[in-house]
Amino acid sequence: MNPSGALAVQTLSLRDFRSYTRLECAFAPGLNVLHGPNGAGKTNLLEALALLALGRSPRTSRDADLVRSGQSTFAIRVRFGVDPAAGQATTTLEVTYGEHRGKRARLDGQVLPRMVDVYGHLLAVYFAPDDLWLLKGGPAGRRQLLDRLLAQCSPLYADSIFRYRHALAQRNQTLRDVRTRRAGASLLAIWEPQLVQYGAEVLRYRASAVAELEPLAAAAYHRLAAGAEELQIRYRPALGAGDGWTGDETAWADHLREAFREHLQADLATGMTGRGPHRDDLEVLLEGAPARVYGSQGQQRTAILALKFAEREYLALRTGRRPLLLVDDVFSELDEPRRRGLQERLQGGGQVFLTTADPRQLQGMVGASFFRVLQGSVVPEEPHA
Amino acid sequence: MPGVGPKTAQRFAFFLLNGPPETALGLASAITEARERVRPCSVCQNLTDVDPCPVCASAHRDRAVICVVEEPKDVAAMEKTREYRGLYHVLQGAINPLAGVGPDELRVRELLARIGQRESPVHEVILATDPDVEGDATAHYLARLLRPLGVRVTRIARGVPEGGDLDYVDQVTLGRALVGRADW
Ligand SMILES: [Zn+2]
Repeated sequence: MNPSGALAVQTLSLRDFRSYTRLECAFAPGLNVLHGPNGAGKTNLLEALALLALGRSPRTSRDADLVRSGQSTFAIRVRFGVDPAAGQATTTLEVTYGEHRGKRARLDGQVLPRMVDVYGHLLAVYFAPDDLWLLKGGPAGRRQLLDRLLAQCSPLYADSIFRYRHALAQRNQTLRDVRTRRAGASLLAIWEPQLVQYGAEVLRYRASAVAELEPLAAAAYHRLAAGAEELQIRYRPALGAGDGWTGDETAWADHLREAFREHLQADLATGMTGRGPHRDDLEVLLEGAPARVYGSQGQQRTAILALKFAEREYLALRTGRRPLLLVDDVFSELDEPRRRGLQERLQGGGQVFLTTADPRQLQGMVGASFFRVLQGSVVPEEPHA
Repeated sequence: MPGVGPKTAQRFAFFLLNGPPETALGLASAITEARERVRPCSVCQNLTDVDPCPVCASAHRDRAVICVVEEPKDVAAMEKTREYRGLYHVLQGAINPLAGVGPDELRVRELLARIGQRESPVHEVILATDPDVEGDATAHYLARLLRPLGVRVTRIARGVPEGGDLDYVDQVTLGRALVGRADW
């Protein structure tokens, strides 16, 4: 694996996606600044790239919302490669959507069997201004951060979390069927072997990933903030009393089996599975206190940026390929020192797509390519003087 | 119809309307005939136009082994391997509470009745349900019912495919084979 291999999108094509009727645009391997008034469609471009990396939009779970109004299908296609400017081979990844058949992905023209199989090809880390809810909101967002990161690193993780969620949905339905006497309680046990197997895989991956992310996030926080506070992250598996912090797959499986057994009566009462990796949390601490209550707005935003940079480092270390950074309008939220810290971190680290309503904030950035986004068109501009 | 979108349906319709009338009428009578003659085999529940089906009626099959599958197409796939000489049992689906399918909606009772027969005892039941979440759960369900009956219960192996490229989905199989590796 070549640790410096940076992924880069050469061209992006859209058809009937959000505000775009048709678009074909070539990008630079380094920093791409997309600017234009609010509502011009800048974020839609990041969303299209994120959808190809993650198999779904980071902004909505309703695919129908992504279709240009009045249409019933859309298509997104990228040509990308590792250091494609250096003459390396490129790959084409395409996602199409139709009202009746849903989304379908093709890699170099070959249909992928499931959407979850999209993970791991075009790698990306997505930053958005509303990411503050990552700290303020419930654990679901933080689990999602871990899941998207690990699914991009490992096809096995993508498959495990997919199967775990599927078996969980079946177990929850069985719990409800037992309550309404449509099914016997013995039917609950048939989902457990898979919940334990795939759940233990998920727990092991998450625990070791958080342990590796921690020093990366702490270092990124220091560089961004030049501050003295200490950023820490902690994995909190929802296994009840038997919280296990380390261990191999077998240990995790035993913990999980025990947690399901312990919680069975409560599960039957609520019709929901109350223990397991679907209830885990990732704690973010500043100076040892939860960042959502301890930090100022600036510190909290910096903590989130640090997490995102840690994700990028982790992905690069794990896959040998540097992922795309998709940065949606975060500069306006930061004060001047933090803005400078972020600018420094965005340069020389692979391909970046950055949206802003005010390109003057970015005049100082060396080697940036500027694109003006206006009413469904993206126009490359001459380098600024 | 499963697997046929509105556009394909429209193409079928145009094909039948624009062609000679015999094409459409021939297809119609073939469907009528199939609907009348094809029924589940009273022994194995596979679809057949003679009852019992040729496999169940054959004198050359090993009657002590039953391979349990979800759908008739799985029988065809097993037969293609030419490795199997036992009998089949078609469940006609898998346990799927989200789709409202419980064990009572499947041909489970018929399977248990076959195991209990004195005149031709069954020694082994091979569980060959699909390797997905519902197929695995159905296999667990059947194993728990069958083991107390004193019959050997096996599950087809899930492993690394032979030959060919290790494509993306096979990476998952390979990864899991690595995680679950055994001393040798
Ligand atoms: Zn038969």
